[in-house]
Amino acid sequence: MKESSAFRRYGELALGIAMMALSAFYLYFTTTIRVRGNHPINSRTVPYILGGMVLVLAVAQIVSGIKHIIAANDEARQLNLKIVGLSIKERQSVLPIILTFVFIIGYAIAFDPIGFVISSIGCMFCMMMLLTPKSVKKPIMFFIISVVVALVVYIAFRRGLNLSLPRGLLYNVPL
Amino acid sequence: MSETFSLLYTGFAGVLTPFSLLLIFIGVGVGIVFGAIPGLSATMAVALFLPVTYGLAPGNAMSMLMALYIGGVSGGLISAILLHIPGTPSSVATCFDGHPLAAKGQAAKALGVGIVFSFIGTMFSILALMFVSPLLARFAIEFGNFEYFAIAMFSLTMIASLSGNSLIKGVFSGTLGFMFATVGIAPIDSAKRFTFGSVNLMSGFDMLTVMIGLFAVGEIISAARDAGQESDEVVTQPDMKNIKGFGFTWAEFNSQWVNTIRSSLIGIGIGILPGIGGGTANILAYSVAKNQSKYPEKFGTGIIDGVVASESSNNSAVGGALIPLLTLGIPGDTVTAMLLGGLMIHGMTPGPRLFVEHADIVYGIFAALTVATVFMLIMEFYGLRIFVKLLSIPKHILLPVIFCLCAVGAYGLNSRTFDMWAVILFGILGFGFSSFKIPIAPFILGFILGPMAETELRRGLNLHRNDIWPLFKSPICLFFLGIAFISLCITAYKQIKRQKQTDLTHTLSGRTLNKFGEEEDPTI
Repeated sequence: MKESSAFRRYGELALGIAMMALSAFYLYFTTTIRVRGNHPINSRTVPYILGGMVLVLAVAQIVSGIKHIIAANDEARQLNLKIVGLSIKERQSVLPIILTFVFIIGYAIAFDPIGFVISSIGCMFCMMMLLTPKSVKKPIMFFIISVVVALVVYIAFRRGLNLSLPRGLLYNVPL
Repeated sequence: MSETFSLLYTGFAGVLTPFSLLLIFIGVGVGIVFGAIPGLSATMAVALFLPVTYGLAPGNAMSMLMALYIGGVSGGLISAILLHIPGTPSSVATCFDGHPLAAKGQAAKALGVGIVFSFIGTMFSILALMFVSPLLARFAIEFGNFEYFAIAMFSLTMIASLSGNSLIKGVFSGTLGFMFATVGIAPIDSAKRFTFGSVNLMSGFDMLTVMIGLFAVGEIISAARDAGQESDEVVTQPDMKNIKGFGFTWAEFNSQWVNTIRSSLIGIGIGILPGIGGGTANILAYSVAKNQSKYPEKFGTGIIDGVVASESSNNSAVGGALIPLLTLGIPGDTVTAMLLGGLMIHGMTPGPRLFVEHADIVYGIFAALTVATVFMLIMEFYGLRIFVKLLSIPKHILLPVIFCLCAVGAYGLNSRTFDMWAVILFGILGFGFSSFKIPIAPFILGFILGPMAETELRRGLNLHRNDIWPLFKSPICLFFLGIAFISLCITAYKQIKRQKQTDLTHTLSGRTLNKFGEEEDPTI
């Protein structure tokens, strides 16, 4: 039986709600901007306009999201689709997406203390292993590529372009 | 006129040095690879190479960036013809006839036609750029704050035309871009806005972190969605044996003049309009070529007319997009937005004064574009086998390497990890945009043009003692505000019409079909 995912049905409405929350957040902090002088158009004017615009767009998006849910439910009923939280493809992609976020955020955290070379090797290797289909996974080759790329980039930027990248744990290693 | 030729001579003298030629050679080669590999783009290539240009002289830096731009736009034809996947949005229409031609065993001919007419289209647009820009700059030098505000407002209305299927999402994207641009110190009165006590946020978000995050990191996170899945891409191998010249006859070449000139003019015109670019130009030129053809039924079956229309128009949009960038400081598309950043990194502010203060760089850019176009012609055809091999490098290896380069690019801006975090933030935002089918291009326009509109309006008001009426007295302001209004009305009408069509084709999977019966991707 074909599936109709909740993300597809409620995503548009969720986006509208997120837009409204963003608008409220932005408008609130607009009121805290300290303005100087007595100009008719000051540093708060544009943020007020932008916050107001997002508020109007959020209302329109919520209306559109509700219409979308009604249409999707009708269609699911007509086509006898099984209503699920996430479709099979969506479920399969959740873990890789979360892991990608973990690798990227971990890389940014490790960049300064551990250094560019080691953190880049780790991040590139993990991402290659994650993104590659099982049948063509070659850990040794991926590791060699990661090491070569990290070293070449480091040396090229440090020696060629005088861009100082963090050395971290390799501080005493002459590179 | 003699002054123009003298400046051009100086420009070419600066570019025709061994080091500059080497940079252009590398730039064109890398650009072609980025253009050819689906998922990578000219924007990404320019973003990644901006840090490389930090240490170069401004002339050499701009030569390299222009070479990347030229290579990136034309490289898309390789995958469009051999893979039936456009490497860039500019090559969508190249697929329609290029791939069927390749499927008939004439891949070398399809590529030869694409490459030669890319070359001709680019040369047309460079000529337009060389001779139109200085005139426009001379005219624009008289513009005041209100005139620039009116131009920025007109350009911002283009957000609506980039909105894809949903006007709400397109306008939201543009507004969000403008919102992010308000972070930091406000223009005129230097009030702190949305800094939350952070010193790093005082200078706002750097344009490059926004671009790298949205385009490169966003793409990498999106790739995780298909992680572990086998690729079913099949590269058609062109048979280069027994191929004379570029694989087509003089008679075929001569039969395409009208098509080439018409498509190039469409490309230049579309390129000049802010925010549209080659992605629209190639489809429009293809449609016009089909409508004007004596044999429209043959389009889509593998005839060279379709390839000529698409490739000459998308490449001519390059020169077109550079006209508003250099003369008014307004980027025509996302790559030119990157180039704007490139000019600023080297202490130059695009606009009419650039032609006065840095004429050597401007004419150096013209010369670099010309040389890069010649390199593109030679490298793309004679180095085709190498590029075809590179097409087979899997994305699961390329994307992590690109991410690492993005991190270096971001860190190199100010040698601080804050910019890396900003790249990650915008990467997550780019992934969110792709998940909710929100177009990215309006965000970029809002981020760049929004602050320009605010600053110019407030400066103008300061200058005229808070009197807004000079804005409505200036004929230039009235002209731009008028066409901004007309453009908004036309877009709103088209959106309502499209919405009715979309309702018909909308399915539960959220997929919609364009007029060519293909799935649309509004995130480009």
